[in-house]
Amino acid sequence: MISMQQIDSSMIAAQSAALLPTRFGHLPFQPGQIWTAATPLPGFESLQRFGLISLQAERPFVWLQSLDDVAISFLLVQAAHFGLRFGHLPAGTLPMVMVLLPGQADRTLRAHRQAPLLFDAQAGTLSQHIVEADDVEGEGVFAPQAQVPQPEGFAARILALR
Amino acid sequence: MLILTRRSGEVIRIGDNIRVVILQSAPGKVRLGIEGPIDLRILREELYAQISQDNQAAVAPQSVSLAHWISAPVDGDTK
Repeated sequence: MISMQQIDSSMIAAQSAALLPTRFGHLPFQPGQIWTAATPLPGFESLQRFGLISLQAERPFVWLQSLDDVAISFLLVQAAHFGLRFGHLPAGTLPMVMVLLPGQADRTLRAHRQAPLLFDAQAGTLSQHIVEADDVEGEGVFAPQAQVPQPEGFAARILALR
Repeated sequence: MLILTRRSGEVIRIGDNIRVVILQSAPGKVRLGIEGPIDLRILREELYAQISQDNQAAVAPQSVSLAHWISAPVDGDTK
């Protein structure tokens, strides 16, 4: 559970923030921090609204939290941290992959490599880009990169927690 | 369900901007070419089902510790 002291103070000031339930408790989302699914996520067709939550101690990972169902959240990381490339993607979109957390005996972190989530910061939308196995390049081994460029406006659409 | 019979080289149109071309047909198999808007999602049914299953498997448990991976070395770091 996150305390209010861990929320960046700039988040609290605006009166337009909506306090919404997340895996970390209720958090204040600005309108621009609520992402809409441009196309439904397979398996979760009823979910439309999502928030991206970044905890400073967990970077480069971020959480994709359903704002329609508090029980649904995914751990994401930019595809570049898994060395994955997907050919032609729409301009201005940032590909992130769902992280599949390992079991107790296996410490290998895996990515949901055939279905990156594309975030369009200008439109405030996300969609899942599904490709055939042959259309993904890269080993898919987790190797965090020092810096991965982000599209303009992306950082402002993430709810950052200290 | 609408059922149509087509031969190789013939086309089915869906709406104003989707064309399904029958490229080749053989016993037990048909090869299709599909033209449509770039943002139209076109998938094999079994791939959609697989991604749906994988998405459900990716839902995070309530309690997660990422400490092991956050401490992993970063590519580009100098020691």
